[in-house]
Amino acid sequence: MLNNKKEKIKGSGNISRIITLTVKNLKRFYKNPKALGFLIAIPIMYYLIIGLIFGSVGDDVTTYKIGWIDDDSTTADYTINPYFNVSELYKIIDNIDNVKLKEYYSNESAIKAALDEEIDGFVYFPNGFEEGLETRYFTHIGFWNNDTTTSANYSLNDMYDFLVTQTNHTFVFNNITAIGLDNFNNFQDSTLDAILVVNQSFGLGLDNGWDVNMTYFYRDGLSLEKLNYAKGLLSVVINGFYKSQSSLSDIDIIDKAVEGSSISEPLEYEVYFLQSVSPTTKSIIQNLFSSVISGVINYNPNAIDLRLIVGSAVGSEVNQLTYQSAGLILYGPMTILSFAIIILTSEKKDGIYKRLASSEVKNYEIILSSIFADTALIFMQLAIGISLLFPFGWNPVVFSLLDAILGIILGVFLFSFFILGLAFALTPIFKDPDTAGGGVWIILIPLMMLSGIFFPLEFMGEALQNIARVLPTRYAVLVFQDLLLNGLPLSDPGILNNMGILFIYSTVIFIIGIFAFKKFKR
Amino acid sequence: MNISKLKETNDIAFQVIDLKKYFSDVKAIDGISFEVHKGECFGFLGPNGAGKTTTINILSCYLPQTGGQALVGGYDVIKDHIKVKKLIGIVPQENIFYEELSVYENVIFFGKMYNIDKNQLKNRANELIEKVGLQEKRKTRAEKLSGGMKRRLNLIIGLVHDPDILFLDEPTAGLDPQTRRLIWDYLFELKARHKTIFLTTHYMDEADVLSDRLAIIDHGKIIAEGTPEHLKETIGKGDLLNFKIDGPMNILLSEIEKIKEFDYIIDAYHLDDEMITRINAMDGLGKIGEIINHFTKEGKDLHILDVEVQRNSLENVFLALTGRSLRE
Repeated sequence: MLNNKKEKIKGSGNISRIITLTVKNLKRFYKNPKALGFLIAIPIMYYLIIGLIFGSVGDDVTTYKIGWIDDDSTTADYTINPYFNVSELYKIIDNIDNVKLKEYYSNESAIKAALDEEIDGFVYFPNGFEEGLETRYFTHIGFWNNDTTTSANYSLNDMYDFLVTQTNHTFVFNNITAIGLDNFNNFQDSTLDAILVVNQSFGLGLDNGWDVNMTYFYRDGLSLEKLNYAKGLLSVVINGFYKSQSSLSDIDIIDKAVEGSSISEPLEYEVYFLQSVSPTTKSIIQNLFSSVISGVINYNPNAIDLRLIVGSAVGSEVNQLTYQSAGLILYGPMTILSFAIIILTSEKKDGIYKRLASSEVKNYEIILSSIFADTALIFMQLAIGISLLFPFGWNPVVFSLLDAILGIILGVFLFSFFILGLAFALTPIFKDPDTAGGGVWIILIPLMMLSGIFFPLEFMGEALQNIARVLPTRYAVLVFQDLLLNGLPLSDPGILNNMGILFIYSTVIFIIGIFAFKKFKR
Repeated sequence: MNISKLKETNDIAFQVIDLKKYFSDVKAIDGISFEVHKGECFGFLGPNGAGKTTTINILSCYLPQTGGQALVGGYDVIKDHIKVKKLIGIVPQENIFYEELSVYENVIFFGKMYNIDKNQLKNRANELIEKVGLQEKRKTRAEKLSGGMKRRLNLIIGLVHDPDILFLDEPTAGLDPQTRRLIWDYLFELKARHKTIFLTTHYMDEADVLSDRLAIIDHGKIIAEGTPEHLKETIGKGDLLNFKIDGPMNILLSEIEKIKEFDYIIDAYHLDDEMITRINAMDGLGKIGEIINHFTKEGKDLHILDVEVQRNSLENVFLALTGRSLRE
């Protein structure tokens, strides 16, 4: 009988056995309604909830309700800028689509409204705000003629008058020549922002066509942008005046910070939130006020209208769901880790490996069949995710449909490789299906939470972002972001680089996993 | 033993030579040696944790041994495990199959693991399913079967590739008498087809009836080996003979004391309450005439009214060797 064995066995049959094992693995799923139910229900539930939260169904745009308290009794010259008027600021912000303002007349009433959840927070304009706007709009400059020479051909007074007239939209001049030194000594306590000093031999130099100079003394701490703007304006006007009178001299504006001085405190207004308001909402409201108010009152010169346009660097503007989709679509495939470990541990617990060990099945056939079956399930999860995200407004920005499809397939294969390597590596740790069912979340949660699958990385602090950079799942998210959000082709070096990193991670984990699993099987 | 000659020794199905298996400090198997001939049913008895299943695990290529050698069909279970696996079938102690799959699907699945021809496998599966009376449950999921049916399925999965050597680890544990009998009948049929069977069991009657030879293992060591008859004859408490004897009590007691001097008598005493004289004798059945003669010789005035014989059992053998019953 022993010699007849060959008659019953045909060829090596490895492929046939792998197919049989794979089909068996899949059969176990579809013949187990609970497992199949969980496998399908979990991603459906997840994507429905995520879709409702971040999707654009029903035009459900979050409206921020904000209180408004104008406690300012001062006024400003509204001809300089109509938006120095707090009431005008109210109108412009209230006009924003997802903002609803409501005016209150005391902090107490606004706090009560916040506690009653009528508003998310309130903004408070203190007394002196409008006056402060006007005051801070102009740069107050003291003009000090410190030159003992006098030009016979060019009038300094005429130049001063010209300067005052030509820069009155920006500068307010005050001739302090009579008390120049005193002002200089008391500069910090004065109302001046700067002192323009006509230096020695200025008049003599003009008559002889020499290059001459003035010094612009400013408060220490002034931004370079503002300093250069002031110097540039002064240089253009003063040189323009003398050149128009055929002077051959060039007038240089030297700048120098006054020692011991400092710039004025910024004009303050306040915003208040209850502690229960999320950091994200706080951040959105803060950014909204700061950008809109700064935008309308802080432009110079005032003759030019400014408009802030927010757009996407590549492709069209995307909604929140599309922005997060790269991570979201990896969630379904990620959950297979749990199922894979449960199956591997249960086959050990049920003695299947023991029985198979006495058959002609080889280790690699069991491993390959698990990979094939689980990869099929991973693609099923992916299909569920994609088909559910579309109705919620997922609008991927792709280079081409072919690049997107090939990229997704290749990316998911790599991701599957990693997930299944991890499953083989973790199986010996959890040992039995009961432990695996719960324990696997210790691994899954950080892998999902910190890699951008659940939350965009931008929501996290620097330390967590650094952790994310070493997680292999992060590279899968980056691949999908480039493919589905940034509209890059599959051949993009960045995508290939991230796929390469994911491949290296997966290979290392897979090798560890295979060795650990082979030992575990016994 | 010269291993190189083993493959040429055609009548040996498998053998183990100084086999050891240690789990850390625990010596599960501690240097056992035995051989099993082709077509033989070899019983392997021992209490729980004695090393029976570990021995099967090594012989079926599931566990590597710590020391010694195991040869199946002349092939080393480590070096030539692929060849060994073609020869063996295993019926594990636990029911090992897929609960979600039907009876037929399970048999086919495990058959495919041996690359049996598709048509041959179908025929074989149907034949086995019918043989153990599961034809009506052919399409039923394994999880829906009764305990006895599951054991039968467990058995035929191990036989689906028609192995020459079969390792049966407690095949009838927990089964009703009817199912046990059904499995016994099938095992008799396998024996008739000259299949080699390695059987571990808790049931002494099963080992007695099915085994051609058996070995008793305890604490990882084989403590006895031989045919059931030989073991019963040489080890244990012998047969138990219960006599009802009429006559003067003083004479009876005197004769009981005398018979204790006989070399085959282990013990003899009178039970007043039951009016029974109990004699424990090696090969008691063979010696029964001699014992009756002893009591009924002329002049003793003793008369045998009734006699009952309880044959020596493997249970007694086991008890004598290990000091405890098999199920302790």
